[in-house]
Amino acid sequence: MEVESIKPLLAVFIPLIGSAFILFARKKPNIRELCTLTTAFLMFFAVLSMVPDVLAGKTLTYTLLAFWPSVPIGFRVDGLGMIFGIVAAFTWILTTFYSIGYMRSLNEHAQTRFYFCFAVTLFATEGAAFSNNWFTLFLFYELITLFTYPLVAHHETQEAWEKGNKYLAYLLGTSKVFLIPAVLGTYFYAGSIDFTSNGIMPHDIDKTLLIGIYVFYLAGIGKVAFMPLHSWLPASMIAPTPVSALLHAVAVVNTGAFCVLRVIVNIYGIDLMQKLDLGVVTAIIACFTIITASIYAMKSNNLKERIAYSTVSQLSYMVLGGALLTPTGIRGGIMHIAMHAFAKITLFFCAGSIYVATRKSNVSELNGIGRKMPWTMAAFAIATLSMVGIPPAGGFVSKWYLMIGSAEADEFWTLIVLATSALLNAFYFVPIVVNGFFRPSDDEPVSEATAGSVLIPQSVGAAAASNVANGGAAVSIREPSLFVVLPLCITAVVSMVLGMYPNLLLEFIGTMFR
Amino acid sequence: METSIPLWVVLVPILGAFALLIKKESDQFRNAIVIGSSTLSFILLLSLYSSVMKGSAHYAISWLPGFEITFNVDASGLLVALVTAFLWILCSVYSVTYMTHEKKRLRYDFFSLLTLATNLGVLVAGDFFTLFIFFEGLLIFPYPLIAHKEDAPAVKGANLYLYVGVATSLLLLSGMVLLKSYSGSLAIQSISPEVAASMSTAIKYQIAILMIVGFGGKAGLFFEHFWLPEAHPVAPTPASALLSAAMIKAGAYGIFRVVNLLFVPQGGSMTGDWLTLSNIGYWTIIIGSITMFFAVISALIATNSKRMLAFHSISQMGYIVMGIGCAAYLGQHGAVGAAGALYHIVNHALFKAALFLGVGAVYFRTNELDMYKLGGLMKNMPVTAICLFIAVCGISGVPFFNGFASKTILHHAIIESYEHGHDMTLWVVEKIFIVTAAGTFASNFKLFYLMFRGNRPKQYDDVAPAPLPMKIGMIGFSVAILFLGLFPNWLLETAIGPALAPLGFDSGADGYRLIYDVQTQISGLAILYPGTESFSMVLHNLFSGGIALVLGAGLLYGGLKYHWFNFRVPTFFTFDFYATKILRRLLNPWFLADGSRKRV
Repeated sequence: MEVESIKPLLAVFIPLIGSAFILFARKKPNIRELCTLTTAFLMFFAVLSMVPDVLAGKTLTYTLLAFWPSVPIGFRVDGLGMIFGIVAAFTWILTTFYSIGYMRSLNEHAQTRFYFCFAVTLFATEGAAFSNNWFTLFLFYELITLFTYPLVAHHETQEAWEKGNKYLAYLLGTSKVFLIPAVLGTYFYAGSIDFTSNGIMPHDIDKTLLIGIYVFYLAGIGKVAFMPLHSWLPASMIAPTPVSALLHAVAVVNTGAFCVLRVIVNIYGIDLMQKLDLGVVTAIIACFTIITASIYAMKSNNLKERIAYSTVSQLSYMVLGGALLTPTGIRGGIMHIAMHAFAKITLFFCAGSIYVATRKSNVSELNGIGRKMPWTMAAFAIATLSMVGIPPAGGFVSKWYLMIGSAEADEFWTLIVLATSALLNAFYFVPIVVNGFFRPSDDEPVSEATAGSVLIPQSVGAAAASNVANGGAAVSIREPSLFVVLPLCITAVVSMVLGMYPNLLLEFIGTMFR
Repeated sequence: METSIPLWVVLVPILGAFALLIKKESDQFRNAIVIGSSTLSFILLLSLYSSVMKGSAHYAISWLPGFEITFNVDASGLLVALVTAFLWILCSVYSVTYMTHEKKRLRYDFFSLLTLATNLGVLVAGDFFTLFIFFEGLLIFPYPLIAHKEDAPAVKGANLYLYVGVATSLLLLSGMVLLKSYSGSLAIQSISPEVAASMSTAIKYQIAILMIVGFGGKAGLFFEHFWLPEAHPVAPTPASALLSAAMIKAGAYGIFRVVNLLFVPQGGSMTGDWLTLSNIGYWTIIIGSITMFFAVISALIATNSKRMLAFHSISQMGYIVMGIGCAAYLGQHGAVGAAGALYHIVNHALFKAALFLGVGAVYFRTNELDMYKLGGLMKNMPVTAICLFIAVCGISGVPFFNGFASKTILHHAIIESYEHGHDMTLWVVEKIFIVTAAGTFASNFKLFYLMFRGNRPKQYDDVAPAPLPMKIGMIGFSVAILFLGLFPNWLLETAIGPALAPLGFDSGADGYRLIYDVQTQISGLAILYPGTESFSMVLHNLFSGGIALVLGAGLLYGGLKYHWFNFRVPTFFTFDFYATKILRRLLNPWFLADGSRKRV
């Protein structure tokens, strides 16, 4: 049931208006931050106000501009968009709090630009979540890329420019070269690019064409970070940590997965996907990415980079869920957007918190950190549980649905891939937690016996030596300000709560399959 | 019967764990909470007894659409849960003094209670989904217990435990997913005949293998056992006892559920499904016998007493798994195997806890775990010595101690399996059984001898007896061992018989009658079993038991006299070496990515 409503418009445009206020208040940091917070809360409530309607099975629509009658710019709120939108809105509030703590502790420059771009990115994200057709979605998709660029290159160093340019080149390049032709092709053959429940692609045209357009879509949506088009994501780790959180949990990569799910469910439709065997192809790409990215993650010693590769891997979970083409699998994939978002944002918040407190960013330096920063590492541990998929953390529920989905689709190898990936996740996240809590810190004197043949020997001596070289700067490590610690505790708790009460998410998804 | 008690059984320890945080500094408060909540769980479980005897106690909380968190307590689950809670009470009493030597007692008690909660949760779960959730808890919460000392061996052991646990639980999860998508249900009950008919044989084997291997990781089955001798000895002694005596039972219990319930056809003839079942049973017997044999060899040459006990845990798990396998192999006549396995689960819990606590008491006073460096402590610690002696007799299967009854039943199960199919490998398994029993006897009496007899080293002249709470713990277990040893029928009649009733065994079969006649075998060797066809088997049991004891005594004498136990298997010859090495190799480069690869 489609209902005309102004609510989507409100939800999308509140952050845009807020961004103007942020610019006005640029001289007074406190008021500027207050503006950001107010905007974040207002937007969250605006999104929240649509929840009852969506749960009642309505699809809220609003047409903004119809200068091109068959392709109007407008909004359409369904279950998938709602999950994405509400996750982005909620995590933005926490990210704002966190940014205040993080940016102020580190005395970062250009904070007005930072908050402004953040707000505009959120505008674009909500716009993408509630888009009614590929044209609108494409506009917002590009807007996200453009306004996250200043955030990625925030430090304005040579390295930041280079990596920022890489970010821009990958995302704009793929969308210009592949996504535009794919959208145009869809319009040409289907006569429309609207999102509908069962897909719009005609079944009776040439198979090769359909497959070709699909491949262009996959290559064009660079934000989903399929290997080998993933390297912009680890590169963008040069940005400040709140931006990493924005990229990984709030906005950017979720948009990628969201777009792919839109293509699978709303453009091609499950029937056509099955007919063309495209599900298997997508699943193969996704599984390749899942495993390879995990191996990259193990090899990286930089904490943020490790988490970034983990994102590359986890994004493909969502796509895999869609590619399985069974209701359970798609449920799992969509649910994973939320589950992953909260776990990943926790991990990034923790990485940032550790950086603020200790200026350490390498995994090998984090022995014994849990004793100094128990809250941060406890949150990290919960997020790890979610990443590996251990109940009651959220990741378990989506993994369970994905696994059931792959068994239903008779794709046993995806079951094996999911299990292997969970094991690899354990391999690269668990040692951080374990060494954080149970290994002696490098700052403390290390006895010969302790440094012996542990299962995961780390070069305790070398790290200790480097620490001495730093002048023992990190001797009195403690938790950073409440602005930093509280958000990460909240996200960790949400991650657990979602694992224990996933019903809300399931109801949203249920509205899609009516 | 619909009752929320099973839920409370799990909730009480969890609430207790969080109650610990109220008064962090007070030792008395903490001890009271730990002992109190495990006792309360025990009492709650006991209160379920009458309703379980009438059927089962179940409870459901709706959760995901299509999924419920269900609890279902039947007689076998209740039995194992009661033993687990009992162990926790006594080990908590024991740790009142033992843990005064350790730091971070709050963390220890907190995670001990959470481990208890998840362990009980596994046993009272009504479906595999719920079971899995608790099983994952059982993967995480013991970690701080194992790594308690925070030194290199402790963290190493705990890491091995964790990685093996994660890997095997993923196999279990995959098995569950297959089960769910093919049978449509995860309930812990026999797959209904219509559904079973719709599943292909290959899928049944896949599910069985994945789930057995998945549970086997926790149970210490061969090729998944190598974490056990690393993890169990490094934990503080009460935790070692709990891990070795109670927690690995969760794995065995899972295997029992899969093999003896899930794949047991409801009624019906001995064709089709029974064939699948008996094949699964056959391979379970093989795995069990390999496990028991290799572990006992390792135990014989171990010097660290806790490590030796850990190897015996693996070995005894081999017995249990073999019994489970026999039950499946024999199909409708498998009551004897299932009874033996359940009985041995209980017995092993008791004597293994007693052994650990005894060794721990000696360690508490002498700070020495190497049994060859101890000796002559009989005079110093008489109560500990007696309790340990009772436990040693229990594990060795000496008549009038509890191990005898269950080992005899298990032995009967294996000879009956051989008679059933006349498969020569099972004949070999029976011989392995005898040799293992002999090895167990030799190894454990050697432990007792080296610790309490012989010459006392100078520095141990004024070793004090164990403190009272530790004595209470050990005496509690000894009394239980003696009681079950002297009245073996009590447990069979009150718990194991009812537990077997719903498992689809033919109650007129040979197995049942024999089970109820263990008393005959024990109370007087002269009173022979009046049955006709089983007469030779009973004789065979007794004869083999005797042979095992004689062999064991000979091995002990020879070993001590001619230093056989000092024989060291070259490390490159052992499975554990490769397993640990492969895991270490796998993990190493990834965590040294910063380029500093040199070892310190």
